[in-house]
Amino acid sequence: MYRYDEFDATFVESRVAQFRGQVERRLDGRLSEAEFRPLRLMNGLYLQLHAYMLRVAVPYGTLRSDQLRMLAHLADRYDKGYGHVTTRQNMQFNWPKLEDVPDMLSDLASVEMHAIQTSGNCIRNVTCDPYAGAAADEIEDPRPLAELLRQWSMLHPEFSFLPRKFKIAVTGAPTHDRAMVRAHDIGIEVVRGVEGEVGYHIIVGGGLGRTPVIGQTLRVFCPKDELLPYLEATMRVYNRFGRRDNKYKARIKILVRETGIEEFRFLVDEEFKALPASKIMVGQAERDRIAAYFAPPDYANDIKAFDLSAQPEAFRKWVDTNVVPHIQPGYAIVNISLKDPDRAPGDITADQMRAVADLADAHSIGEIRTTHQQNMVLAHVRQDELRAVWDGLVKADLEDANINLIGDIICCPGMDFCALATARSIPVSQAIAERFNDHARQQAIGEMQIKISGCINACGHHHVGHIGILGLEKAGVEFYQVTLGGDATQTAAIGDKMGAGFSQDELIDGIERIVDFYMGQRTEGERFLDTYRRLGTPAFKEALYADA
Amino acid sequence: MPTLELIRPTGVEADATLPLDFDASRNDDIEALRLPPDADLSQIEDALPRIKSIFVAFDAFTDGRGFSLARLLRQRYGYDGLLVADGQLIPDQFAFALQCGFDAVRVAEGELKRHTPEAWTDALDAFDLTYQRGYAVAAGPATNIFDARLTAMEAGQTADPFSV
Ligand code: HEM
Ligand code: SF4
Repeated sequence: MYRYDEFDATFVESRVAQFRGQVERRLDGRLSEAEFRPLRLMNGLYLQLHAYMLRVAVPYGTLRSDQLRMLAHLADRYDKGYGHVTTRQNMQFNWPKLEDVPDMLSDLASVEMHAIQTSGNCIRNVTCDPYAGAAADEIEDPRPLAELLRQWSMLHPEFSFLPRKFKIAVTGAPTHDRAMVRAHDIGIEVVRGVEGEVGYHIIVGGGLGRTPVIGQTLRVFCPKDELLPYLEATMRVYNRFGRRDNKYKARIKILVRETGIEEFRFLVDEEFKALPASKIMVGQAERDRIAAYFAPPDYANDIKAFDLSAQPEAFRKWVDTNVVPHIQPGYAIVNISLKDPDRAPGDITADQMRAVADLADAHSIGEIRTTHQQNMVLAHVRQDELRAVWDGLVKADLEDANINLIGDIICCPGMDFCALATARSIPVSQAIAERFNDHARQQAIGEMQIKISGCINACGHHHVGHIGILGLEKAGVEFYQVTLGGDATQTAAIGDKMGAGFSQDELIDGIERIVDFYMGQRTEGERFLDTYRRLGTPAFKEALYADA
Repeated sequence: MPTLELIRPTGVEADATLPLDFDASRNDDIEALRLPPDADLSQIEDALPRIKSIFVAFDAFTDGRGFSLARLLRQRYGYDGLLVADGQLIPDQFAFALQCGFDAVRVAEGELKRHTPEAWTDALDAFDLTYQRGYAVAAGPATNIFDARLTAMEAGQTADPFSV
């Protein structure tokens, strides 16, 4: 994992000191709230329904165990004993006090962490495939690239006051996109060029929110050297021409749509040609320096084949759903579900954080990943230690075996925490989890992504859920609109809107009907999404409204 | 128009009249030109050598277009006259402005009560380092991190070859 050098450390310390000064100036009135707002946002500090909310950056979703322990400490000391993993792989605290925030940031800096650019109209924390460096389907580990982008985007003098927020995601496995690169302002896929050399496929203009758009190709192949100059050219075009008259039209997706991808590409190319590229790019030596931090661990090659049949059934079920193959024989990738039906999706208590940190130290090179599905990952576990990991998870009440199943729901905070919500979302996710509580049934249903948002801002990614749920409100009554067939991967698609909305109770019944319909119709090996695509919208719509 | 103050003396009269509309066909020197944030720089390109000072308008401090304009004027169009960020900036943006190529910031005098001249100069001390290559400036973040690392790496390589 990346370690700060003296420069990174000094930079973050300067940032903490700067923010401490900004908070002081806000408290004594020298900074107005209007002036303070963008500054605090750039430091991950939101003002929410009940209190401030601090969003801590987990760069590309990678944490060391000591960092996770520090997050546990923050949860205990400054919050209500838990934190929340967000859909952009960050960790959010919902109850800090403004006066405490500079101290929280100092604590974070002591373990090489920060909250820089987790919100605000700047380049946000870069996200990444949570299986990076461990996945068999990857062309190259994308984390060195993500780290380079983290550094390049930090307090960018030119691009810190953009028309709107700007989100970048990267993946090294274009055949199995686990980073949603097509739903980001810029998505980057590691690809091979005609000569077999490694470079980047640049995708632009994706995004969810009020106007969901699937990103389009900006550049089929960008050589590594050219990446930063090319991104600067792209950002400059956006900074100059992105709309600033209407915040709902300010994302780059709208600029790309209104300009047209051809014209947009032309503008970027013109800008790129005029840039002094060699003065912007970061050379091979520095890229190698960063990459060295992500070298594969020293794998053992004496790991004995592991006999599952002698193990308890609950463990075998967990292995079936939560454990996936690793690039190295004898190893496995372990997913830790943060989808306990009794908690909000993505919530994790301080004690659980410490338990996961201990497991990472004992069994996975002291490293933890967070995922955009709001779960965690131990990326390098010896197969003969899986049982020990599971035992530890059971003790910490983290053994839910529902990864990628119907219980693995993505859900925004909704009415329970969010000032913008039009409906509750957490209770809906809990009701669905409750209805499909039976593990055998979840397993039989197979891969299924339900995603829930409490308003049209779409923080819960409902547009790309296999089943998407959007909470709305009319005349004081909450209701829920369903979309089907959304897809967040390399075959990305925006879900199709069904008809009239449902009350919460009707909704759960309706979902059960479409699930049953799918089970009855599917052919061998078909996922819900496949059956939906084969049979089409009308058949599923009929099932959804069968009883209504 | 209220009197305006320049943060950093520039030698230009702070309330000099600034032509907004611009006649490119003239060929005399232009003392000061005011550019809106959505200016099309190609229209003034030919006249740039004759322009002594450009004031780029910031109508709101959250509107970052001026930073890109400065960068373009300096880098792409080679403008080397005086460049002033003019309007609603706050001290926390001073370093960014200099890094993008501005020489100075001009704010309304009334603003200096809350954001004192000391606050502006202090803000420049917040960072010595910058990650973006080509954006280091002597008066603000003076060291580019990537360049400094490379220098250190090269120094390491040329050090005594017999030491480990
Ligand atoms: C609790 C208070 C929150 C508020 C007020 C809030 C507000 C918003 C708003 C207004 C947008 C739309 C922005 C736009 O379209 O430009 C948005 C987008 C988004 N939010 Fe939140 N949010 C909150 C919490 C969260 C949480 C907890 C998560 C993660 C679990 C989250 C994840 C996202 C994501 C992923 C998007 C992006 C959609 C896109 O690609 O455009 N938000 N949020
Ligand atoms: S989708 Fe709406 S309700 Fe949910 S967190 Fe975002 S803004 Fe709040």
